[in-house]
Amino acid sequence: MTKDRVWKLSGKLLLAAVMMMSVLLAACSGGNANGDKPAASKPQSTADSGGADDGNAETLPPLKLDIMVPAFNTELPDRSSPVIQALEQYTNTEIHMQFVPNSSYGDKMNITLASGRLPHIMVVDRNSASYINAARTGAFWELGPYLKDYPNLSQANPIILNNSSVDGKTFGIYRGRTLGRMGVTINREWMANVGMSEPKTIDEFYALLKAFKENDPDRNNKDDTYGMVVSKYAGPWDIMQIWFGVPNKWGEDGSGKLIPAHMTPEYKEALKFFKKLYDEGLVNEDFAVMDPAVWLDPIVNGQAGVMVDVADAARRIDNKMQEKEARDTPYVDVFQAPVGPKGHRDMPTSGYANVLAVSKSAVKTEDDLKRVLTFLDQLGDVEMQMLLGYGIEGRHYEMVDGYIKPLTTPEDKALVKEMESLNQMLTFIGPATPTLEMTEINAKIAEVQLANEEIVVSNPAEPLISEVYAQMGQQLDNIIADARIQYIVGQIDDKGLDDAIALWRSSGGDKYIDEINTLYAAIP
Amino acid sequence: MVSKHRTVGERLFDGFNYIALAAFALVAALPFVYMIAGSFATEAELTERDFFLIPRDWSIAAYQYIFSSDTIFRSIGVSVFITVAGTLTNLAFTLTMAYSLSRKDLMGRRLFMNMIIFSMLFSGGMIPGYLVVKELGLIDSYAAVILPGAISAFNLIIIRNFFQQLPPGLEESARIDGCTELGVLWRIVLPLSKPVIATFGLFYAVGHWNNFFSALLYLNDHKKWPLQVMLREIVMLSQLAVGDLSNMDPNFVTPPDQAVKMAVIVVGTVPILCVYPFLQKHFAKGVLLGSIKG
Repeated sequence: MTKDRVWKLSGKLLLAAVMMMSVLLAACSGGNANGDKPAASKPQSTADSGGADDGNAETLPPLKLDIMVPAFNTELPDRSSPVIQALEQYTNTEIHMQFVPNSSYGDKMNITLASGRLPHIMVVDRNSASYINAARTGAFWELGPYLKDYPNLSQANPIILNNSSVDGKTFGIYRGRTLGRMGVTINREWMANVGMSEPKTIDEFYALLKAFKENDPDRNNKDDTYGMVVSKYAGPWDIMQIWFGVPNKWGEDGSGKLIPAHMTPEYKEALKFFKKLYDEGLVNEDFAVMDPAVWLDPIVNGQAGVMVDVADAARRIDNKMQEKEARDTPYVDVFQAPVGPKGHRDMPTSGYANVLAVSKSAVKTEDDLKRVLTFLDQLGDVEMQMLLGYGIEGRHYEMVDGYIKPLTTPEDKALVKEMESLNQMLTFIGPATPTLEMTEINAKIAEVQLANEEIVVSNPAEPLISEVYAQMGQQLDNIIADARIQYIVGQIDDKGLDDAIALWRSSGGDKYIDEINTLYAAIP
Repeated sequence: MVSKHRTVGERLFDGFNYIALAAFALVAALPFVYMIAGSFATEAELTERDFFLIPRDWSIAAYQYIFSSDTIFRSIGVSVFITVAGTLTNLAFTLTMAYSLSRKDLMGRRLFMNMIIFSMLFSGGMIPGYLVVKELGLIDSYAAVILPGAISAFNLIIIRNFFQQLPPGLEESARIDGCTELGVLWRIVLPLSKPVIATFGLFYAVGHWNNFFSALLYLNDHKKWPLQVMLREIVMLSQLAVGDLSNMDPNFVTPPDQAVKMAVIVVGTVPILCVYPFLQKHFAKGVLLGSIKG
């Protein structure tokens, strides 16, 4: 009996080895899996112009769509959700949502791209090497030429389309986000107590921070306050640099060539200012190790009074402070960036957050593609933006004076679950929708963000895809980021900073500069 | 037992030992006690106080929030199922394979051992693994989480060595009494291996309980996610909410309360903590209760 077991065992091993080999061979030869999921519906292309904008294609059976999006909660809707059903009805589709926890979206996205078994529509990070590779090797449809045929998609912002393109071609529809999102959040009461108002210049900003530290803004006769709170997340430094005239990652050096931000003279000026803030105790000493999860706490607890980040942070801080002790007027106010020596400048976002790509493995024919694009186009309609963003009227929200008033709180789990994370597939390319009721803070945030659009400094190298960066970008970034922190806390001096920049250049930075300039010059 | 008169030096050393060990134990245990305390505290208190062991205002709001829907219950159920089924599968495969390999008269024994050691040193990686599971049609089923890695090569070698050390006289005497091969395994060898089974069973069980990555990779249906995936999502959400400029949806994502995060972590750890003491006695028992004299 022992002998039988041996042969059975080695037979099975042999079988396993053969299977592995065949899988490897199959994977290497283009990775096109035999999709066992019934993909797009039959290609009866009566609606071939693709311009139908309200799912009135009763002649066509519902389009089956697998959509992969990141999920921001653990309570997620299934097919019985009325929101999904309303969506299916409006767009004549059958939707299978594939939620992936957002914290692990990168890994899952890479794996999915590598497996060759892609859903019809998926949210992808346009900057990830795996997506760029997949797009270049033809895993996704090139959508650029089709966009003009659709009422909403044709209105897509060409700058953002360019930013989100790969080699100049659009392989995914971008998900639009506010462009001028940054703002300075300041504790309103403290400002009044030290007798100051909105800091319009950097000098006024500095004076405000100093007053917050020295003039007892919380009126408790104790020297327990300081100016601005910064955490391990280095965003505030990046934002404030721009105020000083430093370019947004890459800037023109006057001769038509691009140089990186840290090699401009304004960069040193900015860093000197940051160091001054640190030396005078206007910034928390432990900023380099502070966990961003508790970044808001010092302001909520009355230790700090200023935060530089996205403008909507003001809302979050205010909410927390209201939770602690409610009152009618907001605790904080939010302002645009102060004017610096080179003018009024602020940092933009890239205008989008990931793209929605349509895979060739699931969407097999051009007619199917047109139906999928119709679906994406319809997501920009006001009805769909409202449905996926706020839910069903009367059930999740109601309209009051033209404003949206949510009927659910986070505690109403069952209701919130019906629409959770469905807004992730929205492109926001379409007409504007009604908004939430403007509380004082929300109105201020919107005002700041709108005004920012005039002063944002874009990154000219944004759409360029650099091989050097893909290989060693992280390392290079770390050299500069670490040097900045060390300079601010005084561990290195000016010479140390220069050494770090020299190190950056010799570790591949020079190559990077050359590559970017070549790519930049190639842009028509 | 000889009662020895302890010198002052020995007593001092003992005392020092106790104190040092107690300090280490506290350092390890205190953060966890804070976690438990925090899960019973209000959000306001967590923002205000840095570190505390007893909350000022008790509140079970976090637990109420977690358990108000059946999502966490279901994921706990999934985790328990994967742990139990997975551990049983692991033990069944590992023990039988170890026993076979421990028999000196097995043909090709050395070949198998070499292949196993090879698999310990080299691994295909994440993507080939995914492709294999996909081609076997196991995606989105629990088998994808249980079968790959069902036998840990390291554990296998240790158990095999353990089986080899059992006195051959046992097996021979059983055979003489007419026992079949399987009978020897089931009736003689396994009862003697209780400490081994307990130890490795626990290793496998904890591995399954903590496993989130293969669940993430292979389970697409969000209803099938085990507890650790949910936990990670909830805990990482607040890290995301601050400071991710391009990905944050300003109106739509509210990070969960600190208390909720802590409560979820407690829920994720406590079951294993409860099981542990019951298995301790098996570790402490002797290896072989001599049944052969001489």
